[in-house]
Amino acid sequence: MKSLKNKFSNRQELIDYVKELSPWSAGSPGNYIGGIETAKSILESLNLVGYKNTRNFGNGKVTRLSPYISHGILSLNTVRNRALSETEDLSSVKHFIQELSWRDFWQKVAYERPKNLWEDLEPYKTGFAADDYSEELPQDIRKGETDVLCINQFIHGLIKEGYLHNHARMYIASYVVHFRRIKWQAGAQWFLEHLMDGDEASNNFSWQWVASTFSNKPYIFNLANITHYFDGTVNTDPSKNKTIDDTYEKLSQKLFPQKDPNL
Amino acid sequence: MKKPIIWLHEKALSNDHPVFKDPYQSTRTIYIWDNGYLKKRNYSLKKLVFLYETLCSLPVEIIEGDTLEVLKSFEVELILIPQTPDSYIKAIVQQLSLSKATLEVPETTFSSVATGKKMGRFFKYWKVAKKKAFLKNGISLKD
Repeated sequence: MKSLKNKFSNRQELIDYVKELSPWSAGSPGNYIGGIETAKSILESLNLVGYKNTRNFGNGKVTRLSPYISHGILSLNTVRNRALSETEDLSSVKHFIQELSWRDFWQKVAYERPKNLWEDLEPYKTGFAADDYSEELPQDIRKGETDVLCINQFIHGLIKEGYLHNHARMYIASYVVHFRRIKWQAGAQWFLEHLMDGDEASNNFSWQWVASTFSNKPYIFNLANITHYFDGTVNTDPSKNKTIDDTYEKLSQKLFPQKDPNL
Repeated sequence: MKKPIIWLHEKALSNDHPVFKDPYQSTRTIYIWDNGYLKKRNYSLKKLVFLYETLCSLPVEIIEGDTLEVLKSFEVELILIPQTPDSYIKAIVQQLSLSKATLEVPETTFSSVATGKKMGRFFKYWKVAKKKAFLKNGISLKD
């Protein structure tokens, strides 16, 4: 049994030590700084003004607290209490606390249905059976070299930063499961390898929500939606995003030809 | 037999988790840097660096080795573990419980919805949770 070092003179020294300990690990060290003090300082500077109206946009105001929450550095209760202490105007913190509640909900589902962290909660509602979906995540997706430029740019962000805006997570998940017909499990596993806030419950049940194995219908998106929320953040040139450039109705017919349109 | 020890894992990297409360009288807190486990999860370097950086900010002994083997080697009356639904960690806890006394300690409660209730969809949970979600510690003065 070997005790490991816990004091370093600078971050680079720590990075080199981790590389030596786990030489198999791939990629760059990233920009998220770990540690209790860092987490507390980000929490202290929490400012939810503008969160409600901008959080859905690619360049909107998000807190970036999630890696500290998913590692248990900050508990949901601590973060909720800090948000409540910020203002007496409940409307400005309401949406934020509801987002925290989603995380609590996923955790509770995981305690209740542990097997379903990796197994379908319900059948797909896409007109396809689970066996119709591939098991493996293709290399072009892993590398961000698909035929959809926006998706590639989101994937590059995932690999480099270990962070994705919530909408971008849903776009990629939908692309993987519905446009490429790959099992949600393959995509969920891949996300957990990279996301700094990766958490089995939140991640996997969200993938199931997109896939329709934990929702009443499959989630799909189109270029118009990405343009609305992410214009200026990713390249939304239609000629480079042809696969997703259509109406929801036409995309739905193309992606789910066997699905009962009344469902 | 020695007093309990705490095994911190990657889902509870905190020094104020309820697992540290006095009644448990634990004497030692450890984290096990388990390459087999980390490799199985195929974590990228940025995740490992974040993890290690956080460990260095905690009063925890970082030990290299196989998690189960290291935990089994301690002659202690109890191993305290922060509770988590994470399947990889749950599998280790289940294995460990076959030969050691373990106690999973839950995190401070966030919502008034009890774990173990049939969750259904989010709106069903939210219908109950929203009543106390906007109160400090999720409790009202009447609680």
